[in-house]
Amino acid sequence: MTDSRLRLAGLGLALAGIAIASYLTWVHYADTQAVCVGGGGGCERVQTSEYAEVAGAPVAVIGLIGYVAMLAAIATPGESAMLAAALGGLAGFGFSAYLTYLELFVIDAICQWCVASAVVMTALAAIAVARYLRGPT
Amino acid sequence: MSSRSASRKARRAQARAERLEAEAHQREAAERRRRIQRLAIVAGVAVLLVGGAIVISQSGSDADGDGDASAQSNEVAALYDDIRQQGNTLGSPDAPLTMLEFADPQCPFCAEYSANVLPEIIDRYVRPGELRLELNLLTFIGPDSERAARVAESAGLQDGMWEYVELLYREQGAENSGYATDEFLRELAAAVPGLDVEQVFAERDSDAVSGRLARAQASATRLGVNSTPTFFVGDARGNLQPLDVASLEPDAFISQLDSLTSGGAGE
Repeated sequence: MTDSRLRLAGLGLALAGIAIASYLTWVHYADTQAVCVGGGGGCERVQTSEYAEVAGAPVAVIGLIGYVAMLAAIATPGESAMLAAALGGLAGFGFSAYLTYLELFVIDAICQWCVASAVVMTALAAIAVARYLRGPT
Repeated sequence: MSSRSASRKARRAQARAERLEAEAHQREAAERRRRIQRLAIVAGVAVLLVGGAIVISQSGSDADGDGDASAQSNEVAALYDDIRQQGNTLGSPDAPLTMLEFADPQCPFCAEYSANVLPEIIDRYVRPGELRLELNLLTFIGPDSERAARVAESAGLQDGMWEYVELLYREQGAENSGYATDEFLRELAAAVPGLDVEQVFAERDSDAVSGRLARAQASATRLGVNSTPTFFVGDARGNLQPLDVASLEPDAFISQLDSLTSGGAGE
């Protein structure tokens, strides 16, 4: 796959991530419930859990900032931007893994939106790392 | 002579091409090594960032949990401080009037009443001994109501029901979302001063608790309660009359209760 295709895929994933994080941010501040396919209240439990905020900042907002930063890094040409995208992708992947662990083993509830975000972030990390390792082509 | 010189030239050109190719390979390999090294550094930085975020998240959640619980616990304890509590009743048993409330732990309007009106009623009528409150918990909204009400009634066996229900309202989740887990209910029980949490959980399925819930339901059926919160006021002789309030604001209750009591201690 050419770098331009990888870059395009990265931009698309970052936009998908922004959409998910924006929705969850809205749910957080509108004090409403996320639409959870299949019901079960998983999203509600995850969103209202004590882990839904880090140092007072809602996780959804942190995610939104992260995805916007990833979009900017991928859109910017140059090796430094590629390296920044790889850093953002790896950090985002690690944090998503931690949040997924919390859902599975601590909160005991799965939020489909969070899982979707984790999948998007994992793909973004893989693309960012691959682009940096391949270098400009 | 010229053919020998031509072949020397060709050999030199080939050697040069091979050298250039080898150099290019070396440069490529060096570049690749450089990128892998940089990526390793970046991965290390990412691990540090994530580690930091996890530490903040964990300490934040602990601090928030304890801080909230203890702040809530202090507020709630202050609200019921020095008021006699027995089972599901609050206030002096000698009070001339009793106000019955029918409520569901998951009902948002019950939580609204508890936040906006109850403190005023306690200060104005219960503390001066003019009114006694009786809380009848119903569980018609769903399984979360049943789970929460059982623990609340069990807390009532230790005379801690009012504080517990107040905390339940403050931490109320979305109806039937499954939020009333054992962990959630236990955390709230631990925030009620003087409550033996283990005993509360040991007795939540007891006959005593089931009996209390059944009695509340039977009273609701007898009185035709079909929504929550619903209020009745009864005198010492047991005559009950519905308390029809226009809104869940203190004034709506005060205007009615003032006419039934001696006018409220606040005046």
